[in-house]
Amino acid sequence: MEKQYKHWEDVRDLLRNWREENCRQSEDVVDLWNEVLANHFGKLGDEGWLVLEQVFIAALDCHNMEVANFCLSKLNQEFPDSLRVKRLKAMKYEASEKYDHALDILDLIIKKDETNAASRKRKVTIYKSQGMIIEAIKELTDYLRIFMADQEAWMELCDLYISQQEWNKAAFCVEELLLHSPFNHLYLQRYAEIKYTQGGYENLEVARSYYSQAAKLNPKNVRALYGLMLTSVHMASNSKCPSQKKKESIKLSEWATNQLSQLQDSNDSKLFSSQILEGMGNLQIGNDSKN
Amino acid sequence: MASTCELSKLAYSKIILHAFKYPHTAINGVLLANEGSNSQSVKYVDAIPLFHHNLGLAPMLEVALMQIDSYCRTAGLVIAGYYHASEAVAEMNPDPVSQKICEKIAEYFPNACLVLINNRQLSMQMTQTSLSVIQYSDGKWKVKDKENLKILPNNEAALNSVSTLLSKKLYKKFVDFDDHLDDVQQDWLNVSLKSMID
Repeated sequence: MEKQYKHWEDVRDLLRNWREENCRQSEDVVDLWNEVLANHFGKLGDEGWLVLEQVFIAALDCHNMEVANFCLSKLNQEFPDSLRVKRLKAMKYEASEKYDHALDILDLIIKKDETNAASRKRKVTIYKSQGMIIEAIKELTDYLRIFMADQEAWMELCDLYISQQEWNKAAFCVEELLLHSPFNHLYLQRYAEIKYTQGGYENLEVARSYYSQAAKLNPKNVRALYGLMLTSVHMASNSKCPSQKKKESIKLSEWATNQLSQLQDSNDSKLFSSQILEGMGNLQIGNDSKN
Repeated sequence: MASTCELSKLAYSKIILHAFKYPHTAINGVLLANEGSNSQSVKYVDAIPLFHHNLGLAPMLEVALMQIDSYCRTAGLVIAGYYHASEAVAEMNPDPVSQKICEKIAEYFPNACLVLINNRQLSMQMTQTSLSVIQYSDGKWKVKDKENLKILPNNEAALNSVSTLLSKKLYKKFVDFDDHLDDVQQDWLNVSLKSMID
C-alpha cells in the first residue's frame, strides 16, 4: 500500500469499498485503523460499528489480539445482547484455537436463531482449521440442504471436494453454481479444470467445450485460453479422436495461442507460448491416460 | 549415507515470501537445481512459486511446469524439488497432491525433495528455518534430519536476511504463477525482487 492516506474520510471510503467487495486485506485494514481511523472513530457515526467489526476480523486474521479485544469490547458495550456480536466472540475463540468454546457459542446462537446462516458457516471453518475436512464437508452439505442458494458455500464445498480429490462431487458443486449463473466464465473455467483433472478422453472433450465457452465469454481469461490450448492439443494427439474433431481441435488451439500472444506484451513471455506446444507431451500430471 | 539438502538464500527467501504473501491459503512451488547436479546431495539455487488456489487441479499445473521447464533449459537448471505450505496452521504432513507432484518430479530428477513449511515457526522475525524435508528415493518417502538441511551461506545469515525482507513487506510485490495467470504482465520469475534479495 504505497499511497499515504492522510484524510480519515478517504480511509473510511476505502474500508467501505473493501467491505462491499469482501476483500481480504487484513494487514492494510489494521494498519489504516491504527494510523488514521482510530483517532476519528467518533466521526464515523453508525458506520463506525461496521468498521469496528471489519477491523476486528482483520485483527484476528493478523493475530493482533490487542486491536481485536478493543473492537470487541466497544461492540459488546453498544450491543450487549446481539447474536452478531456473540458470533464475533466465537471467532475470537476460533482465532485462539479454543475450538470447543467457539463451537459452544455457535450452537447456542443456532439454537436461538435457526436461520442464522453465518454461524453455521463458522462451524464449517472450525472443522476446516483443525484439518477435519470430512466433518467440514458433512457440516457444509447439511447447511446447503437448507440454504441452497448460497453460492459462496457451494464454491467452498467445491474446494473441499477438490482437496479430497472427489472430482465428481466437486463437479456437481460447480454444476449448481452454473445453474445460478450460466454465463459466469469463471465457473465454466473451474468446471473444465475439474473435468480435465479427472482424466479420460470423454472428460477431455467436456473440458474443451467448457473452456471454449469460457474463452468465448471472456477472451481475456488466460486460464481458459491455456486450458483450451491444452485440451485441444491432447485431443488432437489422442487416437480416439475422429479426424473431424482433430481438425477442429487444431484450429481451436491455434486461436487460443494467438489470443495468448496478443495478451502477452513482454518479450520474455512470447518465448514460452511456442515452447509449450513443443513440450506438450512430457509433463502430464492428471489422471488422464492417453490410451 | 546422509545426504544433505541445501537451499540458496534466494530459494529460501522466495519460499518464505510466498508463504507471507498468502498466509491464509495453501501455497506451493518448485525448486530448481543446476543441471547435472548430484542428486544425492542437492543444492537448490532457486524457487519458482506456483499457486495459492486449488493446488489440486491439473491443467494450470501442467502449463506452469512446461513454462518453467522451458525457462530451465535456457538457464541451465532443472526442476528438482517441490515446496508446500498447508492451509491449516497445524498440518505437518504432506497431502496426496504434493506427494503426487513430487513423485512426478522424481521421475526426471531422482531423489527429489519435498520441502514442507512449518507454519507455526514462521514469524516476522525469523528464528528458525521453519522447514522440514522429506525425500523421495527408491519409491519411498524418507524424512531428512534437521542437520542435513542447510540454508546458504549459513542459517543465521539467511534468517536475518529474510527477516529484513519481511520487515520491508517485500512479500507484497512477490508474484506467483497464479498472479501471472490473473495478469500476464506480472513476472513469475520475480527478477526485480532478485536484486533486493541478494
